[in-house]
Amino acid sequence: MARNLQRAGELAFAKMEKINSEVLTLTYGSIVAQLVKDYEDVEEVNKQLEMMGYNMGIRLVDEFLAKSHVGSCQSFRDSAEVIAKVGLRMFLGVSATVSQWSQDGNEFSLVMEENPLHEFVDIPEHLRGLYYCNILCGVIRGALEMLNMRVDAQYVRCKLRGDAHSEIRVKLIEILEDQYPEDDE
Amino acid sequence: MIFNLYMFNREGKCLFYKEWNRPRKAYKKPEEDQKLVYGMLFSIKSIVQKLSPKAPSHGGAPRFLGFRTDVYKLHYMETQTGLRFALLTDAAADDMHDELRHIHAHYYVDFVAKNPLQSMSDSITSDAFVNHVNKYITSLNSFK
Repeated sequence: MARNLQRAGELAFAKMEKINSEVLTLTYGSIVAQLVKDYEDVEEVNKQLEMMGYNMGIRLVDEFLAKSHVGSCQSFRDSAEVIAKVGLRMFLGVSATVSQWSQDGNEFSLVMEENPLHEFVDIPEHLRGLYYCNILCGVIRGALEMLNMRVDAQYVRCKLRGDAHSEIRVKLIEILEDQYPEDDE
Repeated sequence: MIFNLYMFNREGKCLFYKEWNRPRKAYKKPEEDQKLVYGMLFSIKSIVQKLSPKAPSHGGAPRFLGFRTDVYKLHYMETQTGLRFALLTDAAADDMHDELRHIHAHYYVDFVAKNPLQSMSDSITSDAFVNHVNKYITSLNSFK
């Protein structure tokens, strides 16, 4: 079923309520700043951001399905394109490109040229290890888990660290099956 | 006439149950009834897929839509996230899948998914959700 994902992404984005981007950028920035102050350890902050993202992702996915009207994906490749062209466009306003598929088709890279959360941000030397937008990795993991795919999503390149673009590597770990609940009587 | 609505999450927990019209109660505790319905839906879904005459890759992966008897119809909708809706209406009612999609897209997404204080694995306590669903169902043509 050939479908124009770019168009679906644009349509879905158009339907969403908009917020001033500075309010979003500054709110996100203050979350990260507070986490840095509370935890002091950059790895721990990365982990907390990912967990926050996970809790967001498990909820966002229902809205995504309801508002984007994108049908079921036939393969992991399909899922990757939908995330990049529709999901990210709908919620973040920017789409990404999918590249560098692994041999077995279970790993891919999401490449983002720009990211509204990065605006005004400069990472100081003592926070070198921080993945500022790690929340996105959590969102992807949470959303896919609700769709029966257990994945691992990590930043491998980040524009704020001096790389040319931001890149998240997504790896499919397993496809979950429907479980019948244990009878506890 | 709309009789009742069940909503289950992917773990089988009944998140929401509302009766508008069910004079005959075949259960002592609502939990038993809900567990029974979930078990039935789970089994039927599995059998429906096994009985399909076409291979899944050739357009043959069937989605269970519901069943009907001469007295009532059960309309079933499942989202890709494993949220299951079962709505019972009288046998003459039209297809209710659009209505179920509406409940999911407008009430579940807005009052449950987007509410950080509402856990996704407990029954829905949000008044907004309950009231909106009630108002919506009672306003449908098929309600009477």
